[in-house]
Amino acid sequence: MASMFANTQNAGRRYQRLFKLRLLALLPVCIAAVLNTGYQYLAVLADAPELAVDDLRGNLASGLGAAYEDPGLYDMLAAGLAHFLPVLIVALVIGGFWERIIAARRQRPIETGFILIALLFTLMLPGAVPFFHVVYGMSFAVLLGKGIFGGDGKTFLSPALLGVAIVQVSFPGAASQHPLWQGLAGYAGSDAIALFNRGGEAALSAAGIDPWSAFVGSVPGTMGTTSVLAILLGAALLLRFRVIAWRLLLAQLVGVIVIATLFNLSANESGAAAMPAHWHLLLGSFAFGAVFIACDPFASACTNPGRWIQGFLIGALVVLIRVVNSTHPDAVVPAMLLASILAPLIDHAVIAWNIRKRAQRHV
Amino acid sequence: MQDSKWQTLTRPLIDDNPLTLQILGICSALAVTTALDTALLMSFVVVCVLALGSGSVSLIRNQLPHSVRIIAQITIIASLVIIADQVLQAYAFELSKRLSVFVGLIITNCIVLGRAESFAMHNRFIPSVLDGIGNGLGYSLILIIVGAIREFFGKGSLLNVQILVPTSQGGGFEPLHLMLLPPSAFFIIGGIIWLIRSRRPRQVEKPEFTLRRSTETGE
Repeated sequence: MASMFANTQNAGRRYQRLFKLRLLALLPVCIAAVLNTGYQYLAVLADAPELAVDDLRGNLASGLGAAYEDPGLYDMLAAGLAHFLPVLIVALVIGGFWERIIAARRQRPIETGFILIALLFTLMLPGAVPFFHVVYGMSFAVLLGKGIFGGDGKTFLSPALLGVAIVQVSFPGAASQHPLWQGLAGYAGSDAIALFNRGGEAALSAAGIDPWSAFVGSVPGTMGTTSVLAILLGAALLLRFRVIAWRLLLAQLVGVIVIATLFNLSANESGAAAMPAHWHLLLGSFAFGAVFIACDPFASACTNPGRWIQGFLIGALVVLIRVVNSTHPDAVVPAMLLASILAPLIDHAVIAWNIRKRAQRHV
Repeated sequence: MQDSKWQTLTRPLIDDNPLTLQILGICSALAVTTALDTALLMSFVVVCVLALGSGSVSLIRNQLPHSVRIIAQITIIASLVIIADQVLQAYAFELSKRLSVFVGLIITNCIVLGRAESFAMHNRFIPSVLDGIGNGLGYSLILIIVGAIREFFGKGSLLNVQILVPTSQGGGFEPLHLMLLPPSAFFIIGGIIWLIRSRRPRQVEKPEFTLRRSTETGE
């Protein structure tokens, strides 16, 4: 799906419309991200005030007047913004910096895609991510994910996903170093899934996680990926304006449900394999990835049968990696990278199959 | 035009580098470059095998029946590699354990057979040895650069001498785990290729096909 839009003014307008819709769809996710990040931060502080650290984000939160005793909406908002905004600003500055250099070298106007990349990238990181990691991941995302393939609309992987993957494999232990966020949210995504793998549903309810709170998003996790409700709002907008393919989205749900059910049937006791499908959909960053990453119009299959195949593959892979490989409790990043890489091959096969079928019809 | 002996030796360093221009021997370049010392040792062994292999093939090139030449070349190379492997196990056991199968796999390194087949079969002894050494050094150059980058950023050390103190020991350096994984060698070799080709545009391949200019006008 590399060059879906030819390089004309008209195509440029279509690209801008797509871009704005995708940004707009992320708005509810951003609001949920800010609120939940603040909520989680203050909840930890209320438990253990001595964990407050003297860094930029901690000072910003207390400077804005976020109080951890009996936090209200304002406190959550302030604490959340103090964590969300600095990361986003760093990501935007770094993305813009590289974009400017690329544009200057290629003598082309600056493309806006880096804004979307920065936003998606930020939403998939934990609130305590060190700024150096943001700089590092964002540089990879813009240069290797987008720049060398020719810029916006010519990428074959989602650049934001690539950035997150690079940060994850480069600093696997980093997320547990921060004293305040220890055990809250690592790069590997959701600790809620790891909790379930260890202790089943009982461990989840002991940690105060029930289906409703996971749906609304008041559970620990990476900043933007916890609230399934906000993600569904964004998905509704994207589906309404046909930015994303409903087949791809539905196929991912089918993949998760089928494979998770198969594992449930074969599991004899509690453990990763016993996790029911609804928890797979609610916990971790699957919902976010399914809507905003996997359905990236430039990094997914563009034939209808191809969409079914790719979607099912993503869903199946997410569950498979979650169950089988305990070092990737979230599994969304590797699964979606793999499926994205396979998308052109799937399309190729579907088209070849179609050509053969039609040729046989007209012997 | 016959190259001079000096050119035979130096051309494979940058202008005709087996790794960055011919993209040969990538597998071992990924596997042995997590640290500088293994990269150095591997480089040394490959230079020896290439020089001796090309030289021996060149010596018997006029006696070799054409139909069995590959078998003969492989036999020579395999014998040399086995000798090298045994010497390493005798005198540098620890390092040879870390190199594991990759010394043995020099037999399948395309550079070795490629030079024997394409150069040593048609040239006299001295140029063949020089060509072997040159190609070995070209391979070594890239291996050493990649090994140095990976060890420095992956562990903060060079030749096992700690230069940067990692955060786990209270320093300010955060090791990049990525550098210890094979994909990082792809990134680094890709970067080196890009660097060389932007300096020497002659190495840039012609595009296999070019896109036509778009004629789309309306929706």
